[in-house]
Amino acid sequence: MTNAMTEPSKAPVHRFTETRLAVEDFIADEAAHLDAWDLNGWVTLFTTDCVYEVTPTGVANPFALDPDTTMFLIADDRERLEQRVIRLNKTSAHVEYPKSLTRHLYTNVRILSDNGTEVVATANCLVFRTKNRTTSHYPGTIRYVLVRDGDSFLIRSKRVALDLEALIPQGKVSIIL
Amino acid sequence: MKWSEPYESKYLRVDPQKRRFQISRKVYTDPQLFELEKKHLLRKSWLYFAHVSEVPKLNDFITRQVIDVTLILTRDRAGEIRAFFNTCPHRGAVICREPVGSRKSFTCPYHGWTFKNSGELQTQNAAFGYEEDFNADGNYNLHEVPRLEIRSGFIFVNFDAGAMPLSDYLGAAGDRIDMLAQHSGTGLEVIGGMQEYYIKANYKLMCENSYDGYHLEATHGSYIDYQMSRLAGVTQMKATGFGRGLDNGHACFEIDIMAGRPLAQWLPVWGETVRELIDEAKAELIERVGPERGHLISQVHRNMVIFPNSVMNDQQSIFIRSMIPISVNEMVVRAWPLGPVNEAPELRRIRIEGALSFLGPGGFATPDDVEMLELCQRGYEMGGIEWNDVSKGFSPGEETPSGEDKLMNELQMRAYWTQYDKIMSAIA
Repeated sequence: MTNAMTEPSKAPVHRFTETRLAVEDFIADEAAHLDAWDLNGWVTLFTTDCVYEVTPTGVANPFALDPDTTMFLIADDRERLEQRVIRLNKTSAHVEYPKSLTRHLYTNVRILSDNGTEVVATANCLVFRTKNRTTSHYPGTIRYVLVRDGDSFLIRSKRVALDLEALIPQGKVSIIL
Repeated sequence: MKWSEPYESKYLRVDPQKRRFQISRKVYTDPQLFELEKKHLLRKSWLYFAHVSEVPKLNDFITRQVIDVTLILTRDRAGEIRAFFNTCPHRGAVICREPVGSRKSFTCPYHGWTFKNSGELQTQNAAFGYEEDFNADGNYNLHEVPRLEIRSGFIFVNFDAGAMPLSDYLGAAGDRIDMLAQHSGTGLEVIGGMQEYYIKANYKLMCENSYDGYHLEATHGSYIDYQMSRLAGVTQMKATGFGRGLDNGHACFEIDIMAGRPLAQWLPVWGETVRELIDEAKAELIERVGPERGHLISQVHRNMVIFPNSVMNDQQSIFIRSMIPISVNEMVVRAWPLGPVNEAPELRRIRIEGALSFLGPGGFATPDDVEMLELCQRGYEMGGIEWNDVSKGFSPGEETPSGEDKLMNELQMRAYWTQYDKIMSAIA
């Protein structure tokens, strides 16, 4: 699987060090919300015009795909993202009742651009989900578009591309990645 | 089959007077039975494999597993659609390792035997050691799947050379497949983003789930809440529906309901531009097929299982599923959304949204189904309890597999299991 987002950068290595540190702090906090199942807190990290996407498995170019012409696993706008949170907070979201244990590892953060107001960053991710005495792994890459918000950020876009040919054996994406 | 007298086999226990229809849990758990089922049922049934739009041009191919066989599906250089076992007739290596592509020939990576995409052996990549007439009888061509037939663009395969023709097999389900194709005057195409996901449960559980109206409220309460939030402004909420046995174990439920659809059911949340496009699509459909059939195609939502492992859903979107059994308690589900060729971008967007929010493994409903099937499988594997029940709506004299019943009853499953029992109980 090759794509521009994960190729080695030609930019000077230390050009965005300060931005990178700030982004690392921010997404570590995001991961903490998710691992605590604090989805109401998590959704406040997004802009009102946000998108949260998980691309289909088994595709060669996940960062070039358009959710209007290809079926993603998840392609939420703000409204559907809020609905996803409402659903997951219910005990009738059976797949997440009782809640699974999750551990989100977001690493290898790279800053692709920073124009002062908007930062484009990528991170590797590995998310563990444990339920019914089984642990599944979700390895992948995330591309963030972050807008500065005071001394922190808001997420305008988060696209997750899984390093999977199929959801075997994961079976579903019922947690937030 | 008319159920009047008590009946008991290894698989079914039916008592019409007590209105009981029970299924042995062994059909989901017994590994030896699973092997028999593969040999006598799965390998002798017509299995949905692919849609013609997946090999649109000459020399296009896909590779895909069906039961435990991987096939190469090609549109060969003459335009013929064929399917070959993806194993070299020489020493057996898997030949084609790509899931999709375009090739005039396939070369085995092990010794270099090369085959035309119509199956003929072209070269053994050897200067000596073979007589010139070595392959005169075609023994070393790629092995073709014994039967391949196409219904309205949907490609089915069968590993039994003596199987009945596909149209006989499909029976009353065939016309409903034709209706899928008639959604569009320009033909259908598979939309990118095939879904493939694992479930730790017997494959037949996903078939039962796919046309089970009864589970919707309990399993999918959270999805129904979401859907209600999107139906704001819709006044025509009443729904009428039926479960129907078709033929040869196929069955469906059909429901006349306003749920939003890019063909002829506009929702206010979609806006006025989309309303015009949906009205146009509906007018074109009525013009093409007439008002009566147009109503059946555009207003009736339908979940249909083609016995034994294919699902054709015709709801907010057209959605096809194929359940691939991996072992007695594991399956892989493969699912494809379809839409009209050259569909307006606004309608395509709605179609995709409907499919992924409801039927996808990242959506608001299917993950809960997956959970339920795995809970069922765990329940069966506890052992000690022999029978499941699908009696809802059953009464003496019921005719399955071709009857009709209320939407929320379990006639569909009785049609499936009656056919299953007919085939499996006939094994000597």
